[in-house]
Amino acid sequence: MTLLDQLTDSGQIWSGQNWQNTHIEAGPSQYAELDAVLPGGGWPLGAVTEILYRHPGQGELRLLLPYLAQQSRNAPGWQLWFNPPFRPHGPGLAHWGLNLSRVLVGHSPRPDDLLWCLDKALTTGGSQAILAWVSRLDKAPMRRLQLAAEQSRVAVFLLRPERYKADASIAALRLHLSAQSATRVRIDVLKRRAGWPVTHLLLKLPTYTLPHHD
Amino acid sequence: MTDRLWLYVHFPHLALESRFGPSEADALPQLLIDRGGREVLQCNAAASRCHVRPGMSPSTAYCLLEEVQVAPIDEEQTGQQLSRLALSLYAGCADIRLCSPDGLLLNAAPMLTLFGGLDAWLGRVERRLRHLGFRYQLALGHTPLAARLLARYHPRHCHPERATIKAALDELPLEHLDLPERHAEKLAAMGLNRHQQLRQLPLSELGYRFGASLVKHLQALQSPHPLGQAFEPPRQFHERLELPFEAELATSLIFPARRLLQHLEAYLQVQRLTAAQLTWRLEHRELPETLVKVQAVQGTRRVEDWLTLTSLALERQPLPAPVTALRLHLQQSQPETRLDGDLLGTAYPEADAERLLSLLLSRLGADKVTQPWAGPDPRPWYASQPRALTQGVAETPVEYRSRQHPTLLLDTPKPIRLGDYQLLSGPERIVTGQWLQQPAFRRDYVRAWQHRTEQLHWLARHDDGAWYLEGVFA
Repeated sequence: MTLLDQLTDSGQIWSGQNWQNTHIEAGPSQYAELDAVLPGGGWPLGAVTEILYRHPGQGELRLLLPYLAQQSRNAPGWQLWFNPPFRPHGPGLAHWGLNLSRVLVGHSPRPDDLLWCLDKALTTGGSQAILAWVSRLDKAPMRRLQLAAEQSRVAVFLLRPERYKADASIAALRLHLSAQSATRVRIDVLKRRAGWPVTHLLLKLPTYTLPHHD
Repeated sequence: MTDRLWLYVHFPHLALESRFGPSEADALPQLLIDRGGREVLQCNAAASRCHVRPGMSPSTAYCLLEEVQVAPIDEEQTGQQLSRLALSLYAGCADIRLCSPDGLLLNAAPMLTLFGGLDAWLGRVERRLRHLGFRYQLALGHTPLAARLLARYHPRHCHPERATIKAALDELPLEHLDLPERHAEKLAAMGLNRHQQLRQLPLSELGYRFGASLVKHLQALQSPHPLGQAFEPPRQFHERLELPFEAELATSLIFPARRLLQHLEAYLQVQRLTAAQLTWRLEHRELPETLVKVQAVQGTRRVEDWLTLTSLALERQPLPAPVTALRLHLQQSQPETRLDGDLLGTAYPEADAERLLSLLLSRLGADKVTQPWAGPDPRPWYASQPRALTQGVAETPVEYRSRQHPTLLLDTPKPIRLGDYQLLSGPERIVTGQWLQQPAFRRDYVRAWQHRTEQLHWLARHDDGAWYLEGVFA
């Protein structure tokens, strides 16, 4: 087996012809149209996903909630939410099927604390999914975060303002989200592994919960 | 195997080491002087290398040393340290006697069957002693006094046979029998040098010439009468450590904190407990003491665990003034739970989660880590009051009141212009009786699309007719 085969098999490199065969670990987002374009068929595990949006309330959390709810019900460890812009509203989140007793909400005004916590969450093995609202994030800490994520099997989501769209980023997956209406969003995949950017993906985003989930 | 066997552990530098901590290879020369400052009582290896000897006057010693740490003797501190050492050995021996100022007497015979023979037991005791780091000499004896004399003057005499113990005692010079000084001089003048010579003289003649005290002393060498006072482990853990310097930075407290945590670990081990919460009190010269609470989600007694959590808590704590002393108090403890039943290793993910939570609580502070909540209160803001984690995580699954509400809620409603919005649904009226609050809570909630910024909002018309932004469908 050549080194090239090994790297291809482990998903480190991929060729233009057979990128669909590359194995990438992922957890389904449960939005079929989105899973179809995400490498591995869902949110990448052991990697950082960046979601860029303009204002809170465009569906940035609703996009993630089906996956987060499923993790909270099935996986051990904590689901960590850091620095949400407003208070997470339990009754509304429970309606999405989120098991609130597995969720920890952390407030760390100092960026150092946040990075330390993210690092510990990934290295102790005590987390099942990580979600953080961050704005500024320098290259070096971002790189550290991605490396720490690679050591775990945990999906890390960073919700960031869209003004960072043009910045280079080491994140494995970058999405730009813009709301078209209350229940429709447009998604542009700015960067993904084993594939090219995808633009103009229209997605129906429910207000309260996924249709097939009570 | 003899049925009576005692182990005596002598700590030759206990007074010095309880003042400066167990000696390290690269330590500065250290001197312990008497209260009057007239005499060097003990000195460490670094000082001995510069030819300082106990009994010198301090000023002579200063001439020999360039850099030196000096402290007066503190009998109380030495006594406390002796008790701590006894506590550390308690796991290996239930019958320990404190022989002030610097010795411990362990009743070995009953322990041997329990620990699988003398060698295994001695090995265990010695491992523990080496771990503690204090200089020690030990010896076995068939009587307490014999063990003590051998430990002091013929250390490492670890043969349990009575005959070899007696032979070793016979070899001891008379000045090493701890006889009253006047007797020792007289006996030496009579040409007696070794214990053997003394032992061969008839006791009644010795009694006639030297009085009863000498006879008693010699008989004690053969009698099983124990020395010192029995040791009992303390019921509460509360320790104080005076710092040899004034600590201005929280990070410089870590090293002394480790020492106290080691004592705590020994204490918890003996009591078969784990600690859930500790309180540190940092004493300052003038200001009132600073209180630092440290909590672990799952009880633990490991020094490293507590040290990590403590250093995180200290980093968060600005010191108002330099710290002169540390106090450690065990606030909450619980019986140890054994993980032996965990054959499949399924408990370990939980242990990881608990460790992570402890770390987060220590770094961010207990008020900065919460859990979302969905309570039964009809008013949204009250229903989702976050839960603090200081009381631990709810063990039983709770039934949440899920409602068709947004995912994020504003802390205070924000006035808006209705013109920016397109109303999508509702209104959903939430009303409570006057018994809940005055004036009664009555709001109409609607889902609305803010078309300028493209956000899905949750608006409420309050009783005064004004519209507010209350939630966000993020």
